[in-house]
Amino acid sequence: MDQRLQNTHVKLLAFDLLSLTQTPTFSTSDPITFTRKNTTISRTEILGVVTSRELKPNKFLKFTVDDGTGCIPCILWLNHLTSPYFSRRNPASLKLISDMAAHFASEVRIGVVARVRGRIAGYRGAVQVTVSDVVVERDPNMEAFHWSDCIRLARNCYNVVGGAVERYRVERETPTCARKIGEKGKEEG
Amino acid sequence: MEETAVVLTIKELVLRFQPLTATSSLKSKTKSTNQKPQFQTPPPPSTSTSTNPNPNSKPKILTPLNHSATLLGTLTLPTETLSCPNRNCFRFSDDSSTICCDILDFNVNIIGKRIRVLAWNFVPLKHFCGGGFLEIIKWSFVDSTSSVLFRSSSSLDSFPLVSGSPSNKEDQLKARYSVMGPIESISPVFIVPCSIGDSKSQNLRGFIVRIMVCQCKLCNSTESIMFLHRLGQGNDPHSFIEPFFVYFCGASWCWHPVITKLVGNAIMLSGLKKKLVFIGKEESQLMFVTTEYSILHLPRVLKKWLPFSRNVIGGNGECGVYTGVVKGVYMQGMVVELDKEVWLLLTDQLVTAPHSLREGAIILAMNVHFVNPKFSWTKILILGACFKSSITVASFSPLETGCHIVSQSQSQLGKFIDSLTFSARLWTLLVVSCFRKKFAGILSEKEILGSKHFGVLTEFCRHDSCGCGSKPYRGNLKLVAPISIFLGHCENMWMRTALKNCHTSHDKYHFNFLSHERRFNCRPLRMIFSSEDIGILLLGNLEISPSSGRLQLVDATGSMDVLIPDLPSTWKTSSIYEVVKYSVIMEGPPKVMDCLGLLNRTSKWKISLNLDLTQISCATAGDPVIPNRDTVFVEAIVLPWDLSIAGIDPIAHSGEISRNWLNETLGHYIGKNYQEHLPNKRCKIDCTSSQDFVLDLVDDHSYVGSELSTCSGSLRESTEWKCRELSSTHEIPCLAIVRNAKGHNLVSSGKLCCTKCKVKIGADHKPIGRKILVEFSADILSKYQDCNSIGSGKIDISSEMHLWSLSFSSDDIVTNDKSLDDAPRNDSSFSNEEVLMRDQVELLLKRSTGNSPECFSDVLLHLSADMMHLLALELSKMKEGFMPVVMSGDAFNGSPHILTKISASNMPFASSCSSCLSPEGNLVSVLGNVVTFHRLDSNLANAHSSCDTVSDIPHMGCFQRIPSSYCIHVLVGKQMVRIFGSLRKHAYAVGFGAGVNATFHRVLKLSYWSEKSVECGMKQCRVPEISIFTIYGQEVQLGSNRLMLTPVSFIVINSISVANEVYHENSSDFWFDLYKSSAASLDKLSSVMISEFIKCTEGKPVKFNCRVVAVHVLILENRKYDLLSKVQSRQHFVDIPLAAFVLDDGSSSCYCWANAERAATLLRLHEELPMRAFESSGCTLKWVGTDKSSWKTTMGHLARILKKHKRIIVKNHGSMVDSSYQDLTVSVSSDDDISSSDENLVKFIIFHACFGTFWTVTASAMELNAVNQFEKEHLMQMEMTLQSMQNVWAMEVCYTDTLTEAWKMVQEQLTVRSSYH
Repeated sequence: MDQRLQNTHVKLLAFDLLSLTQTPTFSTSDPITFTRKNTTISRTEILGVVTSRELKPNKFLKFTVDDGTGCIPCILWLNHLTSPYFSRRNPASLKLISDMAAHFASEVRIGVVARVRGRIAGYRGAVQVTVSDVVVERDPNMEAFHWSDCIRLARNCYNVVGGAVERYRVERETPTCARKIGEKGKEEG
Repeated sequence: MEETAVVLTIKELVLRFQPLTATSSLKSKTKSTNQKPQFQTPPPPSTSTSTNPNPNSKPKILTPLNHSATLLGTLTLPTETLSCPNRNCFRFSDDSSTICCDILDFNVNIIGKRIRVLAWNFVPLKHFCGGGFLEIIKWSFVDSTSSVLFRSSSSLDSFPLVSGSPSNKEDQLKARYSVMGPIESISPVFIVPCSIGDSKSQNLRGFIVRIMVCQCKLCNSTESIMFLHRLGQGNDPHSFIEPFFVYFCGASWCWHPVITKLVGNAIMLSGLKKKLVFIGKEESQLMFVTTEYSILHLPRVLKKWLPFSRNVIGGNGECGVYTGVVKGVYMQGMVVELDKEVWLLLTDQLVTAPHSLREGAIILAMNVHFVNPKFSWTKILILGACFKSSITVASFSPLETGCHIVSQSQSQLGKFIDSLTFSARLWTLLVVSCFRKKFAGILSEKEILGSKHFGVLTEFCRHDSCGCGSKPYRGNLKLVAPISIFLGHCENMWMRTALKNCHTSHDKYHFNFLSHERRFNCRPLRMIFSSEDIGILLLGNLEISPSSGRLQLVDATGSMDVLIPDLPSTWKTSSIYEVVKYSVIMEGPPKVMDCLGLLNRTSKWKISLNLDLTQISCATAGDPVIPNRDTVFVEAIVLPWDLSIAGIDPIAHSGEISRNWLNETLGHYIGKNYQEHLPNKRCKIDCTSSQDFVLDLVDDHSYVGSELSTCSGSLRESTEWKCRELSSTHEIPCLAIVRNAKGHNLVSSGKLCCTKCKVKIGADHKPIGRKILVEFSADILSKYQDCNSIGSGKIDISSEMHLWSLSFSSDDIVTNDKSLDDAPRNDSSFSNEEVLMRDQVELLLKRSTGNSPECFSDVLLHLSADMMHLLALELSKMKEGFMPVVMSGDAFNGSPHILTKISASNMPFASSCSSCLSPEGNLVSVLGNVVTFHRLDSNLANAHSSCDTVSDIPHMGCFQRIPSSYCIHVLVGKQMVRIFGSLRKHAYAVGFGAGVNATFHRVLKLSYWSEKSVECGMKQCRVPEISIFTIYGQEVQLGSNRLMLTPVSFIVINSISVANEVYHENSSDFWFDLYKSSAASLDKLSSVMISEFIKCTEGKPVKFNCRVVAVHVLILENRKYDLLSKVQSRQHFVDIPLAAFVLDDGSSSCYCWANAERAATLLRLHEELPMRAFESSGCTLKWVGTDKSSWKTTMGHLARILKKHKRIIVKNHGSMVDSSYQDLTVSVSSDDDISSSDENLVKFIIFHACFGTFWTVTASAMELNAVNQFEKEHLMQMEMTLQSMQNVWAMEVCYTDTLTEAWKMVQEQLTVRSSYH
């Protein structure tokens, strides 16, 4: 199993992320291992439009991010101050983190373009991103940038296995992205 | 039809007092036998309203009578009885009344005949002209026989000039001359005082007519009447070239309106006397004078004299005829606007315009001078009227506009106006009209306006003297504009030029938008206009701007920056300068060149004048008024000597001293054998809060002037009474005489201790002093001006800076003195000590060869002659060390001795932290031509955004606080030199740019060592606010030509070549080529992924887009350099010696080491700190204090914390992968613990940095050895370890240009794909 992307926020398009191979492990912290083409992936960075939002105050915010290839369910925990999971951490820092999370939750509104970093987790058999941080992007070019970045990374990095280049099958998704970029370009123009 | 018309009387009209027109008869088809039908088509009212003094009130068309109305009456010649100011109008009288009138289609036969006026205008006039003015458009004889009045046999009409029987029989014999020819010109009616007979004096009215006469035999024969007859028939083989003057005097003066109507027609006058008229005292002129027997002969058909009707307008003052529509009459009829931009000047009050010269009338101005003033700012034609001029109306105005009644008066101003050329008269009248508004109610109109002329005779006959003959007509007038108007004018020029350029470059602009060249389009545009093109003079004071410290031209309306390369030291702020020759340099964002024409009116543009001082003349000089706003920077060198004086309590005295001992003098030191006079030394004492005071000898390095003094000496006097480093072998015992506040001298023994700082230069040890930059401001300037020859208004020192003078004496001087304490108080104005000082100084001065101004010092150090010599020697060594070197081109190629003169470690901003190294090198001055310069943002990495003005990027508004960095390409000799660094506002002068010849003072020439250190990317400088430009492989080869701007640098623009940059064409292309060829362009770096670092970089810089995941370690320091902070008052005192970030780009993570600006950018310190930071960290807003500008940015808050704690170290013992799981510990170096709120704030800042946007980072990969070394040096002591990740050193950081990067990636992928298939 290739571990080189273990600590990296892998940028995957939704369709790719949602189709990761899930392997149960015995680890308590990471009960499921996610792999893609034999490479372990634990963190991701996604970008898309927030399409749904479900807030349980002081517990969590569930929302979905649609990047044009699929919708990724995300969960942002807001229970830093109550959950025993965080009890070992410095209370002052925890307060900061908690406030940050609350801020992220307030930023996540339906329709905004959000850049989400987080841990890949499974929930009821499906991939779910446990959110580490959210940045609301106001730059209209950011989506196009993200898509091309994803394609580039997939082709030049994630698909490169053991020196053998297996090109990313972009034929399937390129038309979608290219069209979208084209539209962006028009808007920009 | 005429019979059915209502016959009105004049009285009725006058009583009605209503402007009327009765022109219904014009529509009828009946024709008078004598007259052509008159059709008046009124000019469109809009044409006349455009120049109407009251633009709101459109002149109405005269009220037409709805029925046909005629007048019956007689047209007569003028008489003096009617109260008409012109006094030479035709009269129309019926049984009821008499009024002034004018008539179209004038026929001499009409005079004295009863006529029926068929079409007419009536303009009521109160008090004048009988109550109104009648304009006769169409008329007919009442008596049908009148029209066939003349003898049938003759084609000539003859009219005796004087009716009635002749009284003087003698005249009959004399009146035998006749003159025949076309009337060239006519003078106005004038009065000659004369005496008739015995003692009876009478004012003789009259006028002169200039008739061109043919000199052929036929014309001179008595049969000339016949020839006139033939002339009338059109046969004129004559050449009328000889001017004859006919003086219509006495009763015949009333023929003036008739003759005026006949100007240009051939007439014959018979029965004239010949007289020799004396003009002035010596000249005489032959004239023909009318008598009682004089007869006017006119051909039946009047024929225009051909040469007269010819109009060649050259605009050089030649006489001619102009026909035009009156569009406006101003200034009591003195200025008449005709058509478009034609101005008729009737400044001479004797040259009266007919009443019918109303707005809307078509007039014929005859014998007016055509003057094209060729003003550069506008295009107008001036028609100047003189005594030869006459004006007739060709068509009456159909508009309801009043007649201008000119009341004759006399004033000095009128005389003055008449003395001017026509072009000047127009503007004088404009000024007068302004005055009228200004002085309305204070001065009477008569006092301001009006004139009366004498000597029409003279001027008419000697036409050249009428102010239009010999004088030049143009080129002698310049427009002087107030600065505010001038600025507006310049703005218009800018807009026009920008628009023009925009249109020409539109296509290129469009296609380049996404290419690499886009950035060049974003460079500020510079335009230069020369004074010749602008044509405006400027008047104003030269002052130093209190805000920018730049020289400005100031008037009451505004100010503008000026560059005067050769400004002499004698310039005075009190003088008004006339700026004749200059160039206007304008700079602004090219944004205003919106191709759609959507000009951004609010866009900031800067303007500056480049003056040629030889073209500046001092207009006035008043009492010297010293502005208290000047700011001057002085480079001072603090010498490494401490002065210890025994027996004086420093605390007790320093306050007094600083408050009162402000007398400034020149400092001298004179050795016994080694006499040296350092010119223009000044002393100052800086009384700091810690009660230390430093006494310095300071050199003036005027900030604005170019005369950089070349040496400095200084002496440091410390109030720490023990020499700190007595171990030094240099200890100079001395006797100190210090004046205190009460005027007493305190005499004490002291020691001068050389403290430290020995640098081995060759075999010689030299003491090294500190250089400090002192900003002088506020109100001490006057004192300096009084005493110093070089003061010249340039130096200003604030009252907070206490200046002490220092003088030295050696043995033999003191022995000449009396006892210090026993000096008698013989002068109340001077304390005895001062007298003593004076004595001493005088002695000193006697000994010195220079003739310095008088001076007396606050502190006198008396040394033994030997010691004096020693000290002088030391100081002279110092002087050598600090001499700025003006580099020539050759200097860059070798001369290693220059490199060793100053070590930067002794520069004031050098870091005390040995691990963080300063750039080292010499401060040099460089003189050269700027080839180009471009901006590279301080966090540069991506040349795209770096060349954008930050404000162009919508989401980067918060970024504007970052000082911009520049790369300036300077041609020094034949070598291209690049100067890097941040150009601060105070150092950057408007107009700086390509084509400028400039001297860069005190730029740091980077030594080989510092280049190397920067090159390997490990050691970065900590010079405050200087962005060190990292060097790439290729650049290092050229490294010897690299110079750096420091906070003490400044640029003096010597000259600016006057050539407008063609908008982003040649120059930018040139620059692009230059940059491409000379160095690895940042833009050329293609983006890579972090995972590709190892295989592809090999030490070369790489560029990648990434986000911050975590902060590994962070060191924050309070900036220590307080003296510099004065210069950089806007900057914060946060220094980041080192920071390690974890960056993630999706392919992998890496440690990114950064410092200074790059670290600050990655930490988002320049961005605004969100309010929630305070809530989260538990801060109250109380401490935010009053400084609102600094509280906004994160930097400001850090600065506040750092002020307390000096040094903060933040370590992350937690996750390097998950931002939220960072375990941050904050430690401070100060004794006080950091408060929890501050600690939380620091943590917040770090979290905040991790939750930011994309960065484009240019970095170089660090080799393993370097990383190990680095870890050992920095991290071990902090008990930090590094995970096994790639390490890079950040060179530049900036926001990611997402659009460009996205395009790049798409293109890249498409090419890969196509090659793949």
